[in-house]
Amino acid sequence: MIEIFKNIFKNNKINTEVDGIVPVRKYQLTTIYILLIIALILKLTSDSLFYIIDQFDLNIAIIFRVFLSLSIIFFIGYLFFIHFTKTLDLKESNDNQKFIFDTLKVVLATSIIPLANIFLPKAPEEDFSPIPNLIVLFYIEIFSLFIIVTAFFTLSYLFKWLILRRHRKTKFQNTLILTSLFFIFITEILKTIFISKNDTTYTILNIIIGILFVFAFLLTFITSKKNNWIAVLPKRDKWKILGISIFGIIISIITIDLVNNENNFFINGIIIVYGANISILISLTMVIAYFLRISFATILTFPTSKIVEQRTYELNSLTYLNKLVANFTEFNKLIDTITLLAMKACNASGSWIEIYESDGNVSVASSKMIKPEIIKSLHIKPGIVEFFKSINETTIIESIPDKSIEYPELNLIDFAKSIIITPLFKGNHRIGSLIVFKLNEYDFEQEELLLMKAFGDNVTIALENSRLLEESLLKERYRQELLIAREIEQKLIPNTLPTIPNYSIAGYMNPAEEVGGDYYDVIRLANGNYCILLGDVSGKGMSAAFYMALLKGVVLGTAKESNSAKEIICKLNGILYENMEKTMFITLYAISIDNFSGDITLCRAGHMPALLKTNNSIKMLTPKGLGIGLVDSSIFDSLIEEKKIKLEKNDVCLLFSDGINELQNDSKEEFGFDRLIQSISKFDGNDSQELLGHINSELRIFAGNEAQKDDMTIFSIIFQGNS
Amino acid sequence: MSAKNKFNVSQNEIDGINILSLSGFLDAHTAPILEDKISNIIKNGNNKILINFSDLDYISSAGLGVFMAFIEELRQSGGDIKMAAMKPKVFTIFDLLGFPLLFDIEKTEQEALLKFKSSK
Repeated sequence: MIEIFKNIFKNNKINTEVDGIVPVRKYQLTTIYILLIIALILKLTSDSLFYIIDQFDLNIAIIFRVFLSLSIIFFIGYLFFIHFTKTLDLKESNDNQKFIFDTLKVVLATSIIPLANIFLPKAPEEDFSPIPNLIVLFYIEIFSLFIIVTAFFTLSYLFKWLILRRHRKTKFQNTLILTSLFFIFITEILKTIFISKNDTTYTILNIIIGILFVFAFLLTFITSKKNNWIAVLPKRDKWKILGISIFGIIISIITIDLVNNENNFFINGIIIVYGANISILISLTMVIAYFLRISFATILTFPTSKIVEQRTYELNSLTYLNKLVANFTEFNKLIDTITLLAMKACNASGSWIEIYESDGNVSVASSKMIKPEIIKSLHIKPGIVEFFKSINETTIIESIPDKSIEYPELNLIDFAKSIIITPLFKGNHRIGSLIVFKLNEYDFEQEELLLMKAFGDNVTIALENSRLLEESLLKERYRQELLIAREIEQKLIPNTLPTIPNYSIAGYMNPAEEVGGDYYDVIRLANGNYCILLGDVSGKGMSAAFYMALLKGVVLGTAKESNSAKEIICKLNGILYENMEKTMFITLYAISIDNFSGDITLCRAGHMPALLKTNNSIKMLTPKGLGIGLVDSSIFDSLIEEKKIKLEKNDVCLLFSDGINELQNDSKEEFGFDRLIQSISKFDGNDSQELLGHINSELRIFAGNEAQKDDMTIFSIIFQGNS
Repeated sequence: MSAKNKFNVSQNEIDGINILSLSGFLDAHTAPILEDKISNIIKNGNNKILINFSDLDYISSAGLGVFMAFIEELRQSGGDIKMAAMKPKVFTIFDLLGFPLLFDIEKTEQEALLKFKSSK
C-alpha cells in the first residue's frame, strides 16, 4: 500500500505518466473487482454462518474476519488509487470552482455517516450483545463497507488537493503522512485483535497512535500551506470555501465522536469489519487538518479582499487582452473589448476610444457607460480634441476642477471629475485615445495609470498587427486579381491563327505580372477578308483585363457588319465610347488583308506605329487616328485615316504594343524603336513565326533579369508572294 | 521607385489661368495626384488650365486618361486644358494617341498662355 502511494508522489506530474509507470490493464482492474466481490460475499456468508451456529467469537472466525476485512480494505484502496492516478489533472490547480465542488462532495459523503447512524436500528438497553440478529449484522457489514469507501474517497481527494497545490516539500511530507497513517492503521488493527483493554501495552499503543495522529495532523496542516490562491478569489467563492470547510470540520468531529463512542452499540459492532473505524478516523482527522488550514487562509485574506480582487481582475484582464491581441481577427470587436476591460480594470465609471481619422474627423469607436452622443457633443466643443491629441503618453488627470485652472478646456468635460488619457498609436502615427473616467476627484490609483499604459501598448500592438494583416490581405487580393486578369487576357487571345494564302502570320503576347490589357486577334470581315487587330487597353490590372474582354466582345459583334479596317475601328469606337470610363481608352491597329496578292489596308486608332520592312528600307506607318473611347463618332470618324499599301514578296509588316519598345533592362534603358528596327532588318526569312522567335530572343537578351513591367504583344504579317 | 521618378505637381496662377507644372513620372500610381489637383481647380470655379510638361519624364496610358476625364466638362463651361513644353518622348505618346487633334499642345508655356488670351 505504502509503495503504491509512494509511486503517486514520485510520479505526480501528469496522469499519463503515472499510467505509464504504474500500468493498469483492463483485466487487472476486472480481477480486483472480482476479488473484492468474492471477499465481500465470503465475509457476509462466513459471518452469517458463524453467527447462526453461534461461534461468532471463535478464534478461527476472528482470523477469517480479519483476513477478509483487510483484503476488502486493500482492494478498495487499490481501486481508489487507480482512479486517483487516472483523474489527477494538474491543470486543475487553477480551477477554483472544481475545488469548491470537490470539497462539497467530500463533506457530503462524510455527513452520510452520522445521518445513517440515526436511522440504523438500535439495540435494546438490556442487550449486551452488539449484534442482536442477522439483519443488524447485514446492516453493520454494509455500513462498514460504506465507511471504508468514504474514508478512501476522502483520503484520495485530500491527497489530490495536496498534490495540485504542491511545493518543494510536498512529496516528502506526503510520504511521511502516509507512512504514519499506515502505522496507525496497522497498530490499531493489531491492538484490537491481540491486546485486551486492561493491558498496559494497550495504553502504550494508544499513546503511540495518539502521537502518530498528532504528527500526521500537523504534517497535513503544514503541507497544505500553499493557499495564496484563496487570497485572490472573489468574495463569493471565499464564503463558499469557508462555509464548506467549517461544515466539513464539524461533520468530521461529529463522525469521529460517533466512531469513538463506546456506548454506541452499533459502532462497537463495526469491529466485525476490522479497520473500518480506524480508516474513517484517519481520513477525517486529516480532512480536519486540511480544512482548518483552508479556513484560516480564507479568514486571513478576507479583509484585503477588495483590493486583491481588483488586482486579480486587472491581471486577468491584461492576460485576456494579450491573448485577444495575439489571436486578433476583428478590429471592432477588439476595440470594444478593450474599452470594456479598461473600464472594469480601473473600476472606472465609464470609458471610450476615439479615433482621429485622416480627414480630421474624430469618431467614437466604442464607448462604455456613456452614450457616444455625449462624447460627440464634447468633441464639437473647441479645444478639447486638440487637448487629447496633445497628450503623448498616458496621463492621469486626478482632478478636472483643479487641473482646469491650468487647462481651461478641461472644464468642457462636465460628466467626469477625473480621467486617464491613453494615446493610441499605429506605427508612429497617433490614431486615437483611450479614455477612462470617474465621477469623483482623486479617485484613480497610480497602479491604474500603469495599467492603462499597458492597455495602450496592447492596442498599439493590435493595431500594428491589424495593419500588417490588412497589408498582406491586400497584397493577396491584388495578387489574385492579377492572376484572374492574366487568365482573362490569355483566354481572349486566339489559340490558333487561320491560314491566309500567300501570307505568313504569327502573333504572341507575353503578359506582364501586372497585366497590361494587350490584345490581338484575326477576324473575318463581312466581305470575307481577314483583318488583323492588335490593341492595348489603357491602365493595368483588373480594369484593363475587363475592358479587353469588352473589346473582344464588341469586336466579335461588329466584325460581321464591317467591310474594312476603318469601318470596324469606327464601329468599335462608336460602341465603346458610350460604354467606357472617360479616363479609359483603347489604342488599336487594324490591318485588313484585301486580297491574296499583297494589298493591305492599315488603320490606326492611336496605337504604336506599324513597322514596314521592304526590300531596302524599314519605315514606320502612322496613319492619323485617335484612340478608341476618347471622343464620339462625329469627331473620331472624321479624323481616322486609311492607308492602303501593296506588299511585295517577303515584305514584313509588324504590329506591336508599347510594352515592346518600353521594355527596360537593368540600367533602366528602354529597348526603343531603333533596336526593334535593327532586329527586323537582320532578319531575311519569310516565316513570321521565325521572325517573332528572333525578336523575342533579342528582347530577352536585352532585358536580362529585369522584370517585365508591361504586356509585350507583337504580330507579324509577311507576304510570301503570289504562288 | 527612386526619388527622381517621383511625380510632382506645382501650381500657380496667371490672369485666371491655372498653370500646373508636372515633373517626374505620371502613371497609374501618380495619376490620382493630378486628378485631385485638376478637380480642385474646377471646384474653385476656374476652368482654364495650362499644363506645363517641361519636367515630365514619362507618361503612361493611365496618365493620359486624366486629361480626358475633365476636358468635356471644362469646354462646356467655356474653359480648356492647354498643354505646353513637352519633351519629345512625351509628345510622341500624345501624338500617337491623337491628342494634338483634341488639345492645343504648344512648344512653350508662353505660347499656350497667349492661346488662352487670344481665345478670350
